[in-house]
Amino acid sequence: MTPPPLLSRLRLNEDQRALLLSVLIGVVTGLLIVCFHVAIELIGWYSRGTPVGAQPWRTILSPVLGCTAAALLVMHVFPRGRGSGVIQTKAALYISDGYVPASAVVGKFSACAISLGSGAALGPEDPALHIGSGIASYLGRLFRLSRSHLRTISPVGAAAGIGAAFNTPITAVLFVVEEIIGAWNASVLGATVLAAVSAVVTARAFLGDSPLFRIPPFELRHPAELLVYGATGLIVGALSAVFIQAIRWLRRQNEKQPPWMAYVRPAGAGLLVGVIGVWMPQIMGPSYDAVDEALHGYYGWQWMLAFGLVKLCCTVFCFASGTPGGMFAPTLFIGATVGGGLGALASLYSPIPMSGVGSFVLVGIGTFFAGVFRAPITSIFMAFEVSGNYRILLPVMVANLAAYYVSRKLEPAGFFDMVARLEGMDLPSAEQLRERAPLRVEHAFEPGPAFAFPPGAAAEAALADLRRCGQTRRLAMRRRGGWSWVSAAQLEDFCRRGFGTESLDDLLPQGRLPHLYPDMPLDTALRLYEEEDTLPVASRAHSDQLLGVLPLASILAAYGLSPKVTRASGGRS
Amino acid sequence: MLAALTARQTQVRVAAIFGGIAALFAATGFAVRWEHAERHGRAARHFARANALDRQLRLDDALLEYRTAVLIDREREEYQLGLADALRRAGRLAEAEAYLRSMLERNPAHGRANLALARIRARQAAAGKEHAAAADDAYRRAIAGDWPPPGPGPAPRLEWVAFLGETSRSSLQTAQLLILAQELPGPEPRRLAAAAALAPAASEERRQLIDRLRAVVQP
Repeated sequence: MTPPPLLSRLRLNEDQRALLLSVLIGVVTGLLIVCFHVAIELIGWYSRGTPVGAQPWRTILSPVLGCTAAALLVMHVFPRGRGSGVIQTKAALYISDGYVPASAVVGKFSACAISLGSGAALGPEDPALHIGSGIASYLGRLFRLSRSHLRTISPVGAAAGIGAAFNTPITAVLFVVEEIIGAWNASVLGATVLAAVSAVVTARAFLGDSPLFRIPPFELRHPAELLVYGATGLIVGALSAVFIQAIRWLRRQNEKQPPWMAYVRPAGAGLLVGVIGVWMPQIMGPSYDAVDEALHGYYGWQWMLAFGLVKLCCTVFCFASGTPGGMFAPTLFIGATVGGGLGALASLYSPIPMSGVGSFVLVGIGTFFAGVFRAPITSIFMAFEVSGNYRILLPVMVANLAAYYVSRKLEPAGFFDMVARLEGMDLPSAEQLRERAPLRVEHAFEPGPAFAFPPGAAAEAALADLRRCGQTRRLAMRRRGGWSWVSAAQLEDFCRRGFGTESLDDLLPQGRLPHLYPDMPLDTALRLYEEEDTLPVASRAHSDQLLGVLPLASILAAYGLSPKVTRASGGRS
Repeated sequence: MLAALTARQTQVRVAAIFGGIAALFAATGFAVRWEHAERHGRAARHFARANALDRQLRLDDALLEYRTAVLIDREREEYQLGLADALRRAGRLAEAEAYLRSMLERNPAHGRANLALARIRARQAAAGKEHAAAADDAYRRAIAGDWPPPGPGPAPRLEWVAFLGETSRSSLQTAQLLILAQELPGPEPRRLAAAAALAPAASEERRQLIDRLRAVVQP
């Protein structure tokens, strides 16, 4: 590429230019997300009217028209704006070399502003993530980044989008690393952090730095309360598995219906939300205000449980109908209200002193998220970042991990994996990557009393020892650490040349064998085999202690490859 | 020639990008200003309607309007205080307290929120002594709390004095009347406060003097 003059004068390499570009991505994404937020608010006020006490006909008609219009937009005008932002970003990363079309940004922005503003029971974070990844991809192309940088730039924009929408930079970075990239890659991590922070700073400059929720003080009044948090996690985890299964079932049912039903379904989902919204306006749109009210104990347990279950149904119908929108805000709402409702119910009958309802709502926020998205680390840090309170970590870990494991037990596929498969894509799941443990040296090496000649051993004595044991070679320890192979032929040569009484360390060449450690991944170990087919395995605690040896053939056997197969494919044997 | 052309094109591209970002900044600023104006305007209209309904004693309708104002603009404390006060008068004390608690979490020394909380506690005092003690604490925090200029004046302490009389705690009431006798502006209110302090505890005379004092100070 021909870099812009200013940048070329700075003599930056491409990595550094990509880092600078990530700041620009953050700023532009932050600005667009502010506009997105404003558009949702304004459309909401002009279509639905007041948040409570609006005329019923407006409450019903607004989501019907909004969901239909938004679905028509993505079906006919901006088809690239369809689908989940997370999946589109992963597809850009793994399939299309980081390409996200600019029309996807425009489509996502307009369609989701209409659907969310008009009251669809979905959220703005996933569209914001898609907008961010689209902006990053567009700027990357504009600045002519190389193919490798372009591929990884869309997750950078995704972090900026989600950070600006949710006002939580740490959560944004963790989510992108945990769910989209699936690995801790240092170069991408730096750019992701820069983009997320600059997006959040930009958004705060316009919208203020007040947090998404006003958080009540958190307290854990009795250690036994953790049992209640754990039980809440179990129930919410089961609910999240039901949520995933319900969406899958509905989407499969949709596929059996005639094509014209694609126009009817969004209107039907909108009608459902509108009719319920006449009595429960809290479930319409992203519902942040209702979570805030729940945090401060405005609702009784009956209302909170009802809100959670009704929102779950509405979200399932809205998403399955093809109405554009995200899942983050609904999962937070469902977790918060069900968690708060169960906590408040438990405190009525509990023999131990219990925390206030706000504490259960706060802990509940991340439980449904952990169960649905299978991103437990993000869910834990999200609760911490939203609350700004370290003491919340223990109950959050208990509840979220309980939800995570129960959900996984009941439904093996996470939400994004399920949706990706329904959309015909087989993207690598971050959860699978996490759990596919790499093979290590300890799985393949030959342990046991591996003998090595000491550094001071004489060549004659060593040769006699080798002949007595019937070996052709053995490792020789070096004075300054490390090992070298010494063969019977070499020892015979030393003796023949009159060096039989010299020590092996003086006779052997200076070079040492690379050595392995038991915890080393086998693919890392493989790169060390150059001339020798067997390497020593040493202890990390005592680097002069030989634990065994690892022949190349054992590595191939550990991978399930016989030497014959590799020879046929041209590999080393 | 070709290199100069490419450099020129690059400069134009960079200028276009930064020009576009500047335009986006301007558009975002305009949109946010529009949204804020709409938000504040709508909330203010609902709040004014709520006050009007409140004056007409249509408390249920007023509550809906107060809540709408709070939901639209949750940063304005005035709306939250209005809603909490209306909820208290409607007897929905737990809900009223929830709104005040969220304000007090941000500023525990909030004078108006503490006074509103004290009124809730005072209303609950019939149920148990702990509420009376909690009301006393809230009144103390309200008196010593943060108030917008020119400050609360003697009203919170006078209200507390009346509450202490209702709950028959004469010695604390006498002490507060003596403080009022020093703090009140003007000779007549001071004289009335001193006379009330010197009147026999829990007597009808003291009660009447306190009523007169309140009428003089808060006509």
